[in-house]
Amino acid sequence: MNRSIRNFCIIAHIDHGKSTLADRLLQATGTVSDREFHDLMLDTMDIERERGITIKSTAVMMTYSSEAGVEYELNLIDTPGHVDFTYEVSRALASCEGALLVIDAAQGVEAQTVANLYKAMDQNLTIIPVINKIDLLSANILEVMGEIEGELGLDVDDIICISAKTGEGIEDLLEAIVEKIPEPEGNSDTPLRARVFDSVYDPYRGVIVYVRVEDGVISKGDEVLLMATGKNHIVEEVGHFGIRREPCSSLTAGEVGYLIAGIKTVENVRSGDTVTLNQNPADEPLHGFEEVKPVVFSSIFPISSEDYEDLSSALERLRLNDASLIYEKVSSPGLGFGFRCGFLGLLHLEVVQERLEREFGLSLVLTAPTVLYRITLSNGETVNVDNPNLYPDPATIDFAEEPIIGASIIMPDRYIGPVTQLILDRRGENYSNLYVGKNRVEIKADLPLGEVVYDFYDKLKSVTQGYGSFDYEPHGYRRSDLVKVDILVNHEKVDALSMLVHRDRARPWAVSACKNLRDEIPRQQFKIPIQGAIGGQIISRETITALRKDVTAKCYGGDITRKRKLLEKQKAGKKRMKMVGSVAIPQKAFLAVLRRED
Amino acid sequence: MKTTGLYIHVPFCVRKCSYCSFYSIERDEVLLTRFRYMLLAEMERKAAGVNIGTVYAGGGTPTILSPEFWSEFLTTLDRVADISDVLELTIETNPGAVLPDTLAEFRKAGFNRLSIGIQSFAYSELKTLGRIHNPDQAILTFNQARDTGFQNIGIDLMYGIPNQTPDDWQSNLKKAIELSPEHISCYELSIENGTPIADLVDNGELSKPPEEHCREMYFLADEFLKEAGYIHYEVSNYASGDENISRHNSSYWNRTPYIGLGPSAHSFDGKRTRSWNVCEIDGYLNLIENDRSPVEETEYLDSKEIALEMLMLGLRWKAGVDIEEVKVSTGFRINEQYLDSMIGSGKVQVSGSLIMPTTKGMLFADGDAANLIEDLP
Repeated sequence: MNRSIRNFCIIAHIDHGKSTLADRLLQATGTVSDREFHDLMLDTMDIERERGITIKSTAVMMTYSSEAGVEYELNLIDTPGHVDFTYEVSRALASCEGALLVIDAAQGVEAQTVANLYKAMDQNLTIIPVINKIDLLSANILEVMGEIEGELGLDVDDIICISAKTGEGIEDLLEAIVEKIPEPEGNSDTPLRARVFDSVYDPYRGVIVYVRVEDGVISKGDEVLLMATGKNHIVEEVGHFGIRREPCSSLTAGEVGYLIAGIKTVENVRSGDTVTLNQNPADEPLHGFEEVKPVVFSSIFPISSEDYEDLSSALERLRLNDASLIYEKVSSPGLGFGFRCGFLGLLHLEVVQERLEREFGLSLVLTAPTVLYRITLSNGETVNVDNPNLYPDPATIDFAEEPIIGASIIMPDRYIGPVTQLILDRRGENYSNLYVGKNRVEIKADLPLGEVVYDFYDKLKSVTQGYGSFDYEPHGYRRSDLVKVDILVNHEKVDALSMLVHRDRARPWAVSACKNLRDEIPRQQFKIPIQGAIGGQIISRETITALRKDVTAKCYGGDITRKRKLLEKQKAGKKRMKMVGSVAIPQKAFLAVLRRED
Repeated sequence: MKTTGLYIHVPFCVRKCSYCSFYSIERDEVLLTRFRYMLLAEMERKAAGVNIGTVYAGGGTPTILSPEFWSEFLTTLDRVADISDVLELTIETNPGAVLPDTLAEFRKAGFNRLSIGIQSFAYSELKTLGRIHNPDQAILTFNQARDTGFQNIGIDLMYGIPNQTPDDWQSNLKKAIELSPEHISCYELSIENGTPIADLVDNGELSKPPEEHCREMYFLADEFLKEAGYIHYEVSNYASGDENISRHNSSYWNRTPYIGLGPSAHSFDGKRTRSWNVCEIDGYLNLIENDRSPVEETEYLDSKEIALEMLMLGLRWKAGVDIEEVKVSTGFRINEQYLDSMIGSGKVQVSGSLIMPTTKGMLFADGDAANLIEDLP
């Protein structure tokens, strides 16, 4: 039975057509009828569709009859594509035997493609290089083939050329999948070991656990043990992934599917965990379980303190689906109760914020994202600081260090100038560049993570017109002349806006923060000074002039209702603002401050 | 027993002014004929048996309708309603819109108060506002009205007109008091979206005077007109004596009942029900012609809305608002701390439970009303 299974994933740089290829495979195998088909079937979340990125892993089972007349069960595991979600990628990779490495025929090999390819190779996956978008006029198939051979060390003979858009080459690809990707190993007679590679929360069924069965069999009615958390559950349902969930009696070694076991929270279902049978447990869990480490930190507060409980349960709900989201309670003198959250990157932060606001209807204030600084005090003690408000008194600090990443940027050589400038602007060091192909250059440099988490990736894309790709790995810590910039509104410190920055960055940051606040805070009946300060030293200042009147000239019969409604609306709007002292600061003012202007 | 104000909205103008966002259309004889009949029909329906206190014909330009019509209107009103308590019958007009003989006929029809939309005595300002008259016509019309026997005349002036300086405003005020009107309204021009003047402001062709100048003009009117013996009794309104305070408009601010007739006119039952007619003349006429109500929407105020209205309206005018009454009638408390800050900054005077805005305080009536309501959880 195992012989007919193939588990694979698709590795691709953003926009190289991964989701489109997945759609095409679904259609070609008849998994979804043309009538049911809509573009980007697997990207279910609004945010995924809008941004063209996949945030979570999804899986789908397809049935394919090969040319040789054998019927195969193909399990496609769709993985996230953004650099923020590399851990999610690795969990999904561990559940596959093969990977389709999709490369855009016009763009060629990108830094992130290389990074994910190495991850797949680490997991011993069979790689099928796929050149996509061969229908494009700008397709340069021969050159891309050269890159695949030269840069990636893959065999040109293995390359399949396709157009996911037109469907060209899809049949060849399906044949290659069943021929080249090995059947899953594993023994259905040994104790159950199934790897959790993702989980989603279903309000009616509880947590739907996505598993790849490595050994043994899992059936409805089994009592299972989650090895990392030590919790027991009775399996209510197992099944395969179609376009909908398709229940079956059991999943055996090699298969990919789901299980439902009345699990109410994913606190107990961590991705990477191993599922085994309670009565007949495996001796050892599978490899690959790792605690994810957040790199960007920000506090989230509800605009209205009444929404704290809602925020709390919303975060809990998000965490059901997102094991990489880490949070703990925090309280701020100015903003009340909220949560200090750790994220995989700024995109992850934005996605969480957007989902909290969109799916849970919350109005939020987020503090300036920061990285984890290491501060050595005069007494020799070292403290980690991920929150500007916990920054020690500068008088007690011997020195500060900031996290550094080794960045790898690949781009056509015509962008060397602007990219080099960007790296210098972001305090890059140990710069080097190297031609990695015809007209393609890889720049390597050490960059402070704090300079990268903001909008480095966006800036890079803009200076390279989308041709630059970026990947990074941690490179330890480096000493930094760090200062804490506070923002004062009407002489009161707004702790949400405090920021740890390099001294050279302090003034520009403070100046733009004050300007943005001046433009976004509504005028009051009194004058409001807005200041940026390092300690007691004011480094920037703006003033919001006093409102001189707010009454309308005319208020007769027909004006009363309109006027009253306007006042009610303003009053309701004020409830959605954060009071700092006697000044109401609207949410968009906080957001405006975080908008960085270089 | 409270009397009820009767407002009639006549949505016709000879030409629409550049700043006007009210519903009005250029005169059209066919529509006018239908409108006359339907106005009478609406009045007979809504005013039947009501004890009317004031009548106010506004617009638009109500003098577009003939004195004969108004005579018929008031006669009919007398037949269907109780008008024995009516003390004030106002009709609005514009300079140059009516001949002296016609003014006399309006007087004869029953109107005892005339409100003239002069706006400015400066030719350039009138041009900016898109008014069709000139300064001489304004003075002429006023004098003619006086001559025909109107003993209670109000004039409207506007400040904050593009390019207007405080000195320009002062000379307008001077010319106004030379006429000795019983009532002067001084409105700050507000640029409403969708008006021709708003387009000019957006294009940068015109701009309002700086905020400090507008504020200066407000205080200038206050000082100058008080000096001339006028009472500043509402944000934008001055009267030569208590007896000349607009009785009809007072019903808006002290929340007594009024009935509105004509398209877009609002009605209030003096308690918690407000309603308004459909905006468009065609819809209005069709509904009444089919014997249906022209009311587009009715809202029932909750206690909080009533409290907000009492404060918002009370803080606009000298009569003020009785906070004990707000509390008793709505159950909403006043934010005492905020009230103290208002007293401290000279925005209100207090007499027992009555709070009355000062000249400065009137400027902040809207925001302060919202701030004064204690929010209940």
